[in-house]
Amino acid sequence: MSLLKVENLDVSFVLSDSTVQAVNGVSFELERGRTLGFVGESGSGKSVTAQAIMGLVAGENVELTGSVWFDGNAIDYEDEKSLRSIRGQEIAMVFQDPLSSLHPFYKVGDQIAESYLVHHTGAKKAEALEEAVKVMTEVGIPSPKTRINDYPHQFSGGMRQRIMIAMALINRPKLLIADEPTTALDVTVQAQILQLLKRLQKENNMAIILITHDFGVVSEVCDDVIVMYAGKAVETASADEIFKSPEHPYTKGLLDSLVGNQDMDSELIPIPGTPPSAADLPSGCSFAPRCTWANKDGMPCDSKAPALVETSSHHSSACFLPASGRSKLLERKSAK
Amino acid sequence: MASGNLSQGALAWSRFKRDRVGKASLTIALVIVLLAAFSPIILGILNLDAYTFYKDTLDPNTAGLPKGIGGISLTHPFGVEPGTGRDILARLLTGMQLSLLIAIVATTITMAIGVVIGLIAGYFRGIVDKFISTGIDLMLAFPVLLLILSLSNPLTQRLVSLGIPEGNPARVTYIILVLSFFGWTVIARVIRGQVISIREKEFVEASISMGAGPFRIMFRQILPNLWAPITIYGSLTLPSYVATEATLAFLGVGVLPPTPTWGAMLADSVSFFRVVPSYLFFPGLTLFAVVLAFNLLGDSIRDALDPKSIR
Repeated sequence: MSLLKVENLDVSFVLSDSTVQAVNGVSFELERGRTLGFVGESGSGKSVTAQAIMGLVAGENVELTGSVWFDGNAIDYEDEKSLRSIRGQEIAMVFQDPLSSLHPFYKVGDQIAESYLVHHTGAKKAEALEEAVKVMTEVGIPSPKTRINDYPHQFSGGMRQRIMIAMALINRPKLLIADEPTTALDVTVQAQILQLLKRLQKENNMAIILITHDFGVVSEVCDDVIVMYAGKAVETASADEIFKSPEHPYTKGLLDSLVGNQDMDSELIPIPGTPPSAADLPSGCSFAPRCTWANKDGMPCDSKAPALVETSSHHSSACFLPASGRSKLLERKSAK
Repeated sequence: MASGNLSQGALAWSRFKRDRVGKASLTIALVIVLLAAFSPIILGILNLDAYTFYKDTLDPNTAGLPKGIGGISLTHPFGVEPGTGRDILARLLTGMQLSLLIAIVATTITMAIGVVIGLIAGYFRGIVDKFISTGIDLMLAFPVLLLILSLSNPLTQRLVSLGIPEGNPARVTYIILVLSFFGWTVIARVIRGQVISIREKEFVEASISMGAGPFRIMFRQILPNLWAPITIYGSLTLPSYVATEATLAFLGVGVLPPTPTWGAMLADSVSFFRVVPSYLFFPGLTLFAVVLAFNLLGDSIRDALDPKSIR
């Protein structure tokens, strides 16, 4: 049985004059000890998906449908109390910018201890601080016994992110959601944090959802990948597969626009255009307006949205034209 | 940056120390508070009493007007009351104790109510916020002074029937209650606005993702960020309450004679203004100095806490 199962997750924000479809029918499963990467541009719905799983998107103007099972139980998003016992205890989150996610007025030791105290009613402060020192050692903060008395601004960016991770880890969650955990850090520190996450995952047999827009990060740590575009999962595959044989034209475009995937003197190939507004999605395939293959060969790209279908084992793509079809089209073109 | 590792408080203090008006007003405010706190001891040393009739200071030929200029002498530096001969300095100091007590207690209650209601309105938003905000608007629309004056007798009676001793305790309680009851609205509005912006900060989101409940978030995460507005509004509310209390006493809502308060002294002195101007002058000047010192102190605290202020 998988640890997390998400089925047909829909999140939309109802505004006074329009409805923003942020997440559109996303389904996936995640096993213990595995890492799932969510990749996509800003506004593709990857963060909202993760937040929705934790019940962090709520309010009068939010419509949330679909079901989420965690550890065999369906999560009830109406029940704030049970949600609170899941947050931090079963599923924990690490945010992008550790400086603004840490409270500037409290010592880091107290903040880490607090997330322990929230879920251990009746625990003594001293016991919580002991746990904090323990988990700070695990995440590699030197001399944690003295550093628990420092404030967030007295740490470097990488150390701050380690503190956020310590905070998330203190209750030994089964699932860690890392929302762009390395985006605010410089490259050398990024690698350290990713290695740290990998080590902690192994030690705690924890599942990780990693949200990123960086394929480099994906190749480093992810087992499986979901590529998101305009609120939809457009391609799901193992990380190796994605790099070896991308199916969806969007994934292909993303990989082509990466530095290092071309010959030394050829230029980067950007994806033309900009992502559509989530309030005003195209009627057919959301990617069609930017796709070089759109409507070729009589495909209904502008009128029908392609479903996510399996193209090979554990590899699905939402495109009318499989990668093999594309090469055939190319051949035909060059033959003419 | 030179101030890299200073805490917020240390930074504010270093800015405050450069502010001469702030230092002066802080000194005066401290002196005032100390004078009020130790007024019985000071009066003991001066060998004065607020309730004694110093009959020898009065001129029997003028039906009780003080001798000389307002009866000012070495033993009675601020002069004496016409008619009774009570020492004005002693009555000012004794009255100050009560004035400050009322102002400090009322300010504390006002801030507490205002902060809690502001936190609730700003944090929960939606219908709770609408309800509270409308309530505040309604309360601000009341003619407060008229209400305080007209409710004075019935409500004081009610307090007595609730077990508060009749006379001054009940009257002081009434003043504190009405000041707090009508005062919290402004604080609640300010706090609500601050909370609305702070609750969207990422550390609040992080705290929610750790499973913290609404009260932990309100009082542990958001409240510490409100200390600047709380300090500023507290230090500005205090002098306004000193002045309001004096106004109420002037209008007859306040402690019973012979207990002295500044407002009652001012009200009394008006009828003697032409013959004994010192009786009006000293209470008026003291009230003015106290309110001004606390107000300037409040301004300086605001400047010190605001990193963007240039002075």
